[in-house]
Amino acid sequence: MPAIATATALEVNNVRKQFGALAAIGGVTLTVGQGERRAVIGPNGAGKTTFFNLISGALPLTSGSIVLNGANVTTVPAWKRVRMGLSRTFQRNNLFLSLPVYDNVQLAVQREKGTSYNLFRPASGFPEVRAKVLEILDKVGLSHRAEVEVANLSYGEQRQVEVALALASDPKILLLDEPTAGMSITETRRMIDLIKGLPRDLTLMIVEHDMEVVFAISDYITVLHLGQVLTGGTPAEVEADPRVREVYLGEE
Amino acid sequence: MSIDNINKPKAEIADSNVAATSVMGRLIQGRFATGWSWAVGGVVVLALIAYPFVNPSDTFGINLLVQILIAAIFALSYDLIFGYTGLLSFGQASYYGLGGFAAGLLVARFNISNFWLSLLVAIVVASLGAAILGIFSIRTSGVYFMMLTLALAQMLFSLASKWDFTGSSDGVTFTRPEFSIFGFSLTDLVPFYLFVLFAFVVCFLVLTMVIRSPFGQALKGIRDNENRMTAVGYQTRNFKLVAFIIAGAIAGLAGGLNALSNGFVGANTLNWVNSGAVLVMVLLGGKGTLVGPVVGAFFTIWLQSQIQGSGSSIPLGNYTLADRWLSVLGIIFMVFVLFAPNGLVGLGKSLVRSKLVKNLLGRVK
Ligand SMILES: Nc1ncnc2c1ncn2[C@@H]1O[C@H](COP(=O)(O)OP(=O)(O)OP(=O)(O)O)[C@@H](O)[C@H]1O
Ligand SMILES: [Mg+2]
Repeated sequence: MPAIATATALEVNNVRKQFGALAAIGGVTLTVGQGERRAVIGPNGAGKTTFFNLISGALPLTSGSIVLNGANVTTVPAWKRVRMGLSRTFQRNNLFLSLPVYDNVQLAVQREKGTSYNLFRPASGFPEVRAKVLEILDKVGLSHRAEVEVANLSYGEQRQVEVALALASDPKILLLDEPTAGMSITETRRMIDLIKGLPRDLTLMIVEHDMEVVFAISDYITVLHLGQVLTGGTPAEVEADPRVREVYLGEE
Repeated sequence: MSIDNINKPKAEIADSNVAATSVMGRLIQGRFATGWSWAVGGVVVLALIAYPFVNPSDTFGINLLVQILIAAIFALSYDLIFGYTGLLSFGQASYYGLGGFAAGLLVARFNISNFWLSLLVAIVVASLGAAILGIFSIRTSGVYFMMLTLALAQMLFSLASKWDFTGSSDGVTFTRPEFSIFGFSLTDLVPFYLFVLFAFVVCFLVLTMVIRSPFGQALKGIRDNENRMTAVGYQTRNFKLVAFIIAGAIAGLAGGLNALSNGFVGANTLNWVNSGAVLVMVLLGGKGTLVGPVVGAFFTIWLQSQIQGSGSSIPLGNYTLADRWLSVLGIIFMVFVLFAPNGLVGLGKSLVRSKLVKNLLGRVK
């Protein structure tokens, strides 16, 4: 745990996810404090993405429970968890491909601002929505691409839209699934800066293979292996742990 | 690191300037493009208004235009579901049929002969029908959604074709309610035509407004990626249901106008063939645009009238071309799905972009 004792943002209690005979997540328990920067690492197939899918509500649990800011959300649908302050990005770009970047972000912002059921005014005619969209585009560095259809963006730019969509709903807890995978070095640097600049009270969980990113961002690392928590600790502790090297080397 | 920090604010300032110019650019370009579309649309509507005064004796043509406009309203309603929300429903005929029966039965069974009331009841009954059928259909997706909308629609169809109240297989004939505006009787062809044109323009404008609204954006989001909509906090089911109800209301208006235009409504209006026909119209014209369904309705109804007029003399095996209207629709459907998924409007757009614009720009340079 980080030095500052804080309120608990997320509690995962003995969570299991079974895909047929495979226990993709086989009984994971962990707690993440408010404002923590938590990295989740592990070899391919360890269950990191599945774990995020369970926390965000994209997949139902087989057993166990999930508590978000004190509220049990185990059976709460994904869209409601977003409204409780939980937001996520996807490992594989998961965007509105036929719409321009601006409209992609606008969809997330108008939901947050509560104007989505308005049938009578043009979507672009809400100043508070527009200001927020422009702010987020600026933050992720896509202002100059606002009018481009997402399908025509580079892969790295699409990754930035992923993050923009997640930020648009002003999350209290943010789950990033390999945000820098496929990004250029410049784009990765920019993403690190962006993440470092997030509000200090925001709780962050990040799945990342790039150790440079993990070390730059996280204050605590959980290592998943075969659907279970292998170990956890500060970046320095985890780096020194021979078991961690073993599972990574064993896979390679 | 220190160089990065020095450069960063500058880069950010540059970015927000680009943002401002690009958003302005979007507005200006958008206004320019929509300005042109509105001008063209206005000219078309004026021409349609003028037509019966220029050719008062062409009752065949005016009748055909009435049918085209009604079909266009119906196709517009379906495009909200299919083109904008991405739901391949095979039940749009249900709301058209419900509207028609509501308008007709009010006269034939309840002896209330009131034009406005018939239209109002058509819209209300069709939206209620859309709400009820929608609640069931929307819980499913993909092939199941298709099958369920089809099954529910065919249930209504077989009910109407067996029930005496709805005229079973013969349909219901009724006296068209008398109504006049500015002293013109709407039972006369030309005033009725102008009224249908007015209804069409209103529907087009209402849908334009809906499509541009935040709600319309949400429908496009559902079409593109429903799962992602959920992940940014939308309860997508509600949006789909509201889209169903709006589309149902407009289809009901089209069905009501059709019944009032003929003084007749039959179970066939509920048949899946009608749902298939609007699907073809929307695909042919261009899904996800409002002009597309109108163009599609125009071509489909015009072609149908041509084939049923002259096609009855064109032999096709043991049948004539007119008997093969459904096959013709099917072939149009296949050709457009395979070769022009964005319809005539899409073809037009790519033509304009590729040749004309390049030539013009070339000349400017
Ligand atoms: N929907 C699913 N159905 C069946 N099996 C699944 C499903 N999703 C994931 N799995 C399996 O669960 C295991 C964990 O997958 P997951 O995607 O969570 O791993 P990961 O740690 O995110 O891996 P990577 O680093 O490659 O992204 C894998 O063996 C995978 O094949
Ligand atoms: Mg993964």
